[in-house]
Amino acid sequence: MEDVNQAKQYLQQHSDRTGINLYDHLTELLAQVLEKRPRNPADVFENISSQVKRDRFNLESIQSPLGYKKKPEPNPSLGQVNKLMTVFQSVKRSEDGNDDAAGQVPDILELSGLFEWAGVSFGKEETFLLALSIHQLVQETGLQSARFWGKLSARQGAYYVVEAEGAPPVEDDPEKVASDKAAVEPAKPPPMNVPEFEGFPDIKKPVDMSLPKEEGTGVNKYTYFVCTSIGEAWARLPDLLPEHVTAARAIRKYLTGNLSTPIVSYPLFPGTEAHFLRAQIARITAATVVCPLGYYTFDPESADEEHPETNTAIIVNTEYEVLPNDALLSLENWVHQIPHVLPQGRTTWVNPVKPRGEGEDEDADREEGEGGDDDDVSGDATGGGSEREVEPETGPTLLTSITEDADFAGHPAWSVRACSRLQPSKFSPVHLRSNRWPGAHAVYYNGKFACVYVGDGLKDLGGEPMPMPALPPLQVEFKDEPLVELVDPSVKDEKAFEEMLKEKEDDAQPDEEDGDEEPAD
Amino acid sequence: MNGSNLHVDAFGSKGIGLSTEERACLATSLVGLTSSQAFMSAHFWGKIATADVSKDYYVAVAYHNDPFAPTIFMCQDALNWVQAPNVTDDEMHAAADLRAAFTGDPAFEFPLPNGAAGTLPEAKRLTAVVQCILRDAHIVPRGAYFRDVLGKLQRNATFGGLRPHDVTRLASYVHLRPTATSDAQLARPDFEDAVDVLDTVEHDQPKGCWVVEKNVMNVVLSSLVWPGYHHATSVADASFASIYVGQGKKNLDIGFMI
Repeated sequence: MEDVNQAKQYLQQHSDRTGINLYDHLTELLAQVLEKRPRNPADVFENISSQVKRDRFNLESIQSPLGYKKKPEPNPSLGQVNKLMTVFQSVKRSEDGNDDAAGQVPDILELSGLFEWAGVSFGKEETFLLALSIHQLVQETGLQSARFWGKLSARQGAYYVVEAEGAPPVEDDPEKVASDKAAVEPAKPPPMNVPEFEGFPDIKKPVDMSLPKEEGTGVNKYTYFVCTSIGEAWARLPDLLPEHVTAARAIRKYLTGNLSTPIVSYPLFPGTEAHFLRAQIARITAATVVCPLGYYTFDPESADEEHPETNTAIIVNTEYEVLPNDALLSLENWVHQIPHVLPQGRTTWVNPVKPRGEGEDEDADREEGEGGDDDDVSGDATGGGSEREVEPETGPTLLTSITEDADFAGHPAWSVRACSRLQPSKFSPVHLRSNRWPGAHAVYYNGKFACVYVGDGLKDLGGEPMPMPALPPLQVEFKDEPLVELVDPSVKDEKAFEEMLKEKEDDAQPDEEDGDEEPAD
Repeated sequence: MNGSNLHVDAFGSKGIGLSTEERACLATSLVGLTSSQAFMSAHFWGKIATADVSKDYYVAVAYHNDPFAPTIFMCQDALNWVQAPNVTDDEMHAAADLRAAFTGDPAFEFPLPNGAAGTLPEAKRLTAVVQCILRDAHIVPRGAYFRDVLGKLQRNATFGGLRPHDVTRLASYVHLRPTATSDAQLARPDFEDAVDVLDTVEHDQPKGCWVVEKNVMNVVLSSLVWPGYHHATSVADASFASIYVGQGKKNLDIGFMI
């Protein structure tokens, strides 16, 4: 017995290297063998023994020296995904089926199929999310109609743009919507408590030379909403002022992706990126949104009898006959749908000089064939009789064919193709692409048509270097008359002159002479 | 990334897509192209837009064994590929300075820029532009290529993808072009001499010329120097791809626009 106990004690000694003892090890081993009942257990004995030893080492426990757990890395787009989930959960279908009141939005998924033929595709899932997001915008803002205008790429992200009609008017000045003034007016100093001081004289306010903006019509007929990624809240772009358009025509900058970034440029741009973006959107829309000939017609009711050419109300033509696809391969069958933006920055001309007499409507030489929104001639200021007579600016009227658009860099302004070379033409959409604004596409297929813009928002340079603004002319030297140098009077001469003046006064009024004369400096 | 091996879907966020007909034509014609001249691989490189939308160029690039010696093919209907002519270095430099648009006629002669005498035919301009983009803008994730013990640059078959915190950093992308030395790499804390043999994108001039856009499933880098070049790296797996859809013009005014 003693020997057995001693033997057992010996077997139960814990090893100082690994902490196991032979007794437990053999117990476990035999338990495993009896459980698993392998064939030829004596041959695989060593394997079973080393397996038991390996299993004893528990990697999962944190305290063990080499134990580690691999944790899944957090997906960096988790924030974006959470925002997308809100889009999924946001759109409510109205229960009484009154979906017509929800505002009209075209079938974006169907249109995206058309655009894919043209080579513009956001991917099905992203397009679906975009459609949901637009429905949500229309519901929340109570818009009358909305259309997906396009996507503008920026240096950090991109802008998705929606063109909407019937947006409720913003309360007041555009200054509240996005920071307008680059310079903050300095605070008035507190009035000084000095007696006999009546305050500073009134500073004359600088005359506001800016042209009035168009309210609810012309360039501001549509309101634009942007968001930087689907799921983010839509931001409304401010209405367009004419000076934004003229300034935007002179500069060329990439968008940054943040609406409140100031635009650092020469010539100075009076606004932030929100205004620049709005101006570019207006230019692109006016130049590239097109429709098939005959789809729209002028509204006879709103025609102004005196100026029939300035009618800008168009309505869907009820007698429209759907043209076959290959008819749209000829550029004459496409017309502009949006009024042209004049060099002033408006669609209707306003005389910048305050008029004395109203009235003469000079049908100045109408410049047809100027389709680009730049380089439109405003007529030579021939001067004539009155000094500041400005010729009204004119541009192509609405619904003119795009064949009238001026050639651009030696190529036509538009090019067109049948998207499918191999299928018969009635199954092939027609793709129209602008050369002046690369990224502006229009697609037509059996009566359905749509326009979209995907690009960086800049006009093509047309093979020319980027236009550098001319510096203002240097001031010239005074050169008309020969310079004559006069001699400074000496002290004696000045004193003699003063005495002479005094004598004249004394002759006029007999006063006593002053004894002291102040010495001249 | 998709069944037809065309990887265009990764660039959906940039609005780039191919129609079904184009996909069908490209997928089949590229297979024929690869086997016709016993290339190791050929893939669709991108599209160069011309002034006439019906004559845009499709460009494919094929390799034998050297990733730095591509053979460039072009076509205008996605079916019948024609090898683009070779160009000299001078012609490459000239093409990068040209501002006129491609016309769609491969025989059109462009006058050389900067007052030099001579002309450059459009087909050569296309090759030159493609090679400029491959040299200046083509990027791959760091770790996708490595230099083996014999000094040859190889594609890394065990590349596991970029880590999520690396995938939006510019230092994780490298230009795939022959480089003399890259001393800047020695400053990296995780420097590995087999992998860090290519220039990173981090120091490309001008600063800010790469736009990083992160989607749910991948990260897309776009170049502003060659507008139209995009590179997508997946965050979930190890796939990456590049594409060019643009006008084939370098942005020479980028300094004023950023």
